[in-house]
Amino acid sequence: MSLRAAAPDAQRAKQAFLSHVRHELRTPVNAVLGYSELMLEEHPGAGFRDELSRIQAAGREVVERIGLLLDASDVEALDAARVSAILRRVRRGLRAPTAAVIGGTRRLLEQGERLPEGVREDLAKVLAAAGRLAALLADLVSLARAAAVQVDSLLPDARYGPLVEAAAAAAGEPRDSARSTPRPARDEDAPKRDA
Amino acid sequence: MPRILLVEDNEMNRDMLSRRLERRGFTILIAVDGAQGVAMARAEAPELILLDMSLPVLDGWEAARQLKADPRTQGIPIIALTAHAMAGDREKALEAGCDDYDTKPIELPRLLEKIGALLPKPAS
Repeated sequence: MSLRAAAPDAQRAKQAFLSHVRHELRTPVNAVLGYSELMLEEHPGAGFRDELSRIQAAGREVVERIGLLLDASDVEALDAARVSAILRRVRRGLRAPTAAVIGGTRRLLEQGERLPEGVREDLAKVLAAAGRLAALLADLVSLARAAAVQVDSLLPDARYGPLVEAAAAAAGEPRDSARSTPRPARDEDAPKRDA
Repeated sequence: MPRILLVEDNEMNRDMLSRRLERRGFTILIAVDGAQGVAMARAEAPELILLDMSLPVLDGWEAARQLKADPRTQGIPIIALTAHAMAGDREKALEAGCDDYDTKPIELPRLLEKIGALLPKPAS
């Protein structure tokens, strides 16, 4: 089943789908970046700044990769194979920097009482936000299902939702390790415009 | 001290952005959905509104339309905030009546510049 025949609605469906996925992924990263910047502002001489800066850099990498991986101009049509490929690339591309945020935050939290007042609470929020992002990456079926609802609400007669959901289910098959924990970075995980 | 109404449903984003703005000397009023945002703007008359667009109860676009249609609130500048960053989002926000638009994740220096440009200038 292809959406090509339904153009120009296909273009709107593609935009709505990618927009929703992008929104879902960027929302927790917003909290990661905001809280890490806030802690850097509030504790200018603290010893944890280097680790916090690395967390921030990893968060920025997530944002950059979301922009590259979900660039609508890079997607010709929203057929099932394409949706599945997009979701797999998103998971591969974001897993390493997300793991870096989680790992760095956990290392800082291990400092416990040595951290300035309030920092542990803010780090816990960073960890919760990064955990939310990791959960989205681990369950692409749910992520795509929510995006499909958005597409359906935009184009109620187009019936794109089941197609998107089927593609997401394919992307979430066990062979793709959908529910594994984030693993270390690999070069081939980096998003490439010509992929 | 300028008062800014922040309309944002995400608790962490609300807490983080309000604290960062308070550090810059702003007084922050909080609303957690579009309907509450419209009601608070009418009651509190803030100097500026930061309006998330993906809001429950009443979305940001409709909230902006209502605020700009009401003589009590139409003069309050609104900056739309969204994590969508889609082509056409900015135009859609401006069409709804927003005065400017910014994307999440928030780049604070950029947002502060936009806030400064829209806040009423103190009488000399």
